[in-house]
Amino acid sequence: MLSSLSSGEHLVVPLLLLATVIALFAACLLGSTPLGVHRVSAALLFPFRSIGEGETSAVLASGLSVQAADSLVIWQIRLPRALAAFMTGAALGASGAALQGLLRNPLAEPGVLGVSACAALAATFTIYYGLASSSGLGAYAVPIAAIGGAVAATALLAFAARRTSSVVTLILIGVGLSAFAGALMSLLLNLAPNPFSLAEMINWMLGSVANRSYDDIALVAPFLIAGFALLFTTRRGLFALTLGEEAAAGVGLHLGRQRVAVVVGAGLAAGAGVALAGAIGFVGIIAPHLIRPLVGHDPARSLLPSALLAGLILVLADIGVRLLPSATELKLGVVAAIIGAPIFIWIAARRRSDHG
Amino acid sequence: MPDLVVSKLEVRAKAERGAPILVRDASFTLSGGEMSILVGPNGAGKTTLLRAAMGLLTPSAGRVRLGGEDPARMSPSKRARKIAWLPQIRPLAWPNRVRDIVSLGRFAYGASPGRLGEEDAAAVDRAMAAAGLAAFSERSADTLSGGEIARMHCARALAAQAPLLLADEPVAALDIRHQLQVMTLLQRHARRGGGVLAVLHDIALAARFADRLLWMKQGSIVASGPCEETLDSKRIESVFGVRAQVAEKRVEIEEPI
Repeated sequence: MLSSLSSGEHLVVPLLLLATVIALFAACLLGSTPLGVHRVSAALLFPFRSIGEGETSAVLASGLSVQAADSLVIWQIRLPRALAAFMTGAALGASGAALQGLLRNPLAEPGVLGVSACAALAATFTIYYGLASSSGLGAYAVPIAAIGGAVAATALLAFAARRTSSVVTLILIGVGLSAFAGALMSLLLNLAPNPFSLAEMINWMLGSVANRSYDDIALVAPFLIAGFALLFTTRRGLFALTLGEEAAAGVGLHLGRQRVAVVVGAGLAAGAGVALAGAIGFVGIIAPHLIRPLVGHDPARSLLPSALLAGLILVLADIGVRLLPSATELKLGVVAAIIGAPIFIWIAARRRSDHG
Repeated sequence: MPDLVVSKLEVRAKAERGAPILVRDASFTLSGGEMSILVGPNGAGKTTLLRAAMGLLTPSAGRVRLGGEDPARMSPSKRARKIAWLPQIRPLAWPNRVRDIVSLGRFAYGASPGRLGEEDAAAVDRAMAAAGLAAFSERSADTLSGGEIARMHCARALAAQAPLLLADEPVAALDIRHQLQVMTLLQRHARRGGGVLAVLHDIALAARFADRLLWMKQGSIVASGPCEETLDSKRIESVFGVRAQVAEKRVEIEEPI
């Protein structure tokens, strides 16, 4: 068992990548109107834009024929939705893994530090004041507000992180932030001017990737990539922190810089994730938890696989959401919480017994 | 060989003036080839002095020089290549592999546990072998006994191949055999030209291994020198508040005063 720890380690990332590609393909395949493998393959190979104007189908060199409608469904509805689920999951998985490494706590994630709550609050706020609309610049109000909320929360945390060396303090600030944002959000819900904005706010708070477009993805992608890049620069330091902060400083880690980089990186990624899909909890805890034993419990080596696995989990969960026969579609965040919360409790309970 | 020179160091509990003084007017020099042991009762300021000497605390007066530079202003990795730091052992956050933990000794050289360069791997292997941990390489650290964990942290500090080493109670909570193992490991480092400053609670153990004893009481270093000069029953009585019999380096504690 001990030797298998290291021998299987290099397979983790390739296997997850393979599984992700398969899941994304399956997400194109399945849905309220199932399309066959050959129709999906043909549509994927032949984006609908390249079908001539006025035509309803085209024939590929290989003899496969492509329906314009198939191509539209795959390229404009299912694929962007699946990609949005993957990116949201990856953002949450990477921030979760990094925050857990920083705070030396397997239960830390953007939700715990109040980053998701602040992002969701900012988004809800724009809806409440009617700043968001479905067309023109207004369409960008919600995503931009979410990223702004997350960055504000992380800036506050980063400021606190520079002043205190205690990780417990940082977590408690996050808990306070989360509670405060939650309270303000409830206030907004209470005061919601009409049923329409109430429904929209709830939509946002519960989390969903329905009807996401490439524009939505493109808007958050730069923040997501910046967050990932920042987190990846902190990888070595995350492992050093297993020793405790003092010993980590002793082996040569710049503690202050490490804290700021992780908090800002995790905030950018998580904020982008919330902007894309609303508040989706627990996936940032579960994915790293499953990955850690496979990579020697090294937070650095778990960063990339955790991102991939969390993305994969959300793609699969979203397929589930679409397949479940229900009058109104379930929210992805609800499904994630129904699966995730019991696992969270299980991790928390086990941790307690391990640590006396 | 960079010396660690601490002169007239004063550390307060907080930055403000008037805050309680934890360490006052402390001066010492740590050079290569020497095993210094810092003894004193709980609350004497031993850990604070070590942390301030590492540059992890800001002194309110006095200064610290590590090879002529202030360790608080050095980059952490440059400092780590000159002085290894073994704080009081705290549980690991994760059940990591033993070899990965020892590899953290090479952090300041840019190594990551997953991918060690040749030189880093050699240093890690040497340190593991010296600490008798060669067979534990792939073991998860949470399956180790207290003595093995202490040796793992020593190996981590030794893998840094820093000329100086500060250790805060490296043998706390270990049985006698493991205490001797760890102290021998540190002594060997000193015999090979390294400078070691360790905090110990056991005066008899300190007397056995120390080239020099630093006695600390209520924030001050009250005596400093080889055992022959500083170890006697009167000093033990005044510093620790217990009666003791001292015959050369043998110490027998009798009763509290």
